[in-house]
Amino acid sequence: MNTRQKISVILLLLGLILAFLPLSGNYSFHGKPDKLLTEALYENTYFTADQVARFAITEDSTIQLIDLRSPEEFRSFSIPGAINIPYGEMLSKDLESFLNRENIRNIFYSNSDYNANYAFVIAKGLGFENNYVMKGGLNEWYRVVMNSEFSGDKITARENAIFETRTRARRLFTEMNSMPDSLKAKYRESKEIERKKLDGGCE
Amino acid sequence: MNTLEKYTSVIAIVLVVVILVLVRTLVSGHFRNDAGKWTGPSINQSNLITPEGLNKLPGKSLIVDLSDKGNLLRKYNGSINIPAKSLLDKTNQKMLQTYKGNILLVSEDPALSARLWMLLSQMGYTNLFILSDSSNNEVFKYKFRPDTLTRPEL
Repeated sequence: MNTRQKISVILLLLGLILAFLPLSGNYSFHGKPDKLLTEALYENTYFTADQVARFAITEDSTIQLIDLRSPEEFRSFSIPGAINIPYGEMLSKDLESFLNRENIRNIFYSNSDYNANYAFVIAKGLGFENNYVMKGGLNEWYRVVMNSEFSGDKITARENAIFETRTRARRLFTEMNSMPDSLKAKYRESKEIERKKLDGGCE
Repeated sequence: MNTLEKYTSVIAIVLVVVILVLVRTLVSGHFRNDAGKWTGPSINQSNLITPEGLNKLPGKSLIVDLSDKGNLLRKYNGSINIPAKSLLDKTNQKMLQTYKGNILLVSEDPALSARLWMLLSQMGYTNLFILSDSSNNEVFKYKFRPDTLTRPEL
């Protein structure tokens, strides 16, 4: 048997093996569960609603807010600058383009804590870095930022700074989400174009 | 026999490749293939069980309190304490894997329960639930009132 025949047989057999492999484009977790557990327990993987409010009003370009609610809920209102990846559709999206952006911190949020933390573990398990969760979700955002009131006689400088941030975030949230749907869509479109430009893509 | 000897090198190479491919395909670490399949119950929220719904679960159930000091042991009769950081210890894993019934994770912090549910679920645990105060926690509790005066310029 000469070399050419040997190579032909090898290629033929490899082809047969590949033909019978259960290949699919589905995502699967990799790495070690111990490592994922350690990462899941890091306290510094959470941001508070106040921190997110500050990111929103300063339009921090190192932050990507990911709203995991349904498209209907997202259209109704969302934190300014957020993009929508419904939790139920997360694994059918091209996550690479959303989650694997250099020097960008992904902050997941939903109405409550569950979906955002499921999404956090999914992103980590699939090997994406820089993932965070807004603790308490939009319910906490509403309680802390939208319904914030100051009652008392004296206010410290720190309290004043927090209150100022909340007021500005509340105004931004209300103004953006009060826009007619067409304008809201344009606003989000412009944010998406900015995101692509920052990634070095074309419009 | 003579033919087999001729093909020895080819068979050896193919065997090595087959073993490598099978190991890579079937033993993808400690996690199961197709993450989407294991997220299903979290999408339709069938993984959330309320204390009232606990009695309706078929079979026996084991409640696992994930807190460090077993803060919830008194609240749930028959529950056991496995602090979150020790969840993957060999003894705990052996006990959970051999348990024939429903495993319910409970914590004072819903974020923790959610994270650990997803982790265990991707490792292939079935009959795994979160003991939660509500069967639908993803409800927005407030009402957003748009500012009807807001009409930004184009």
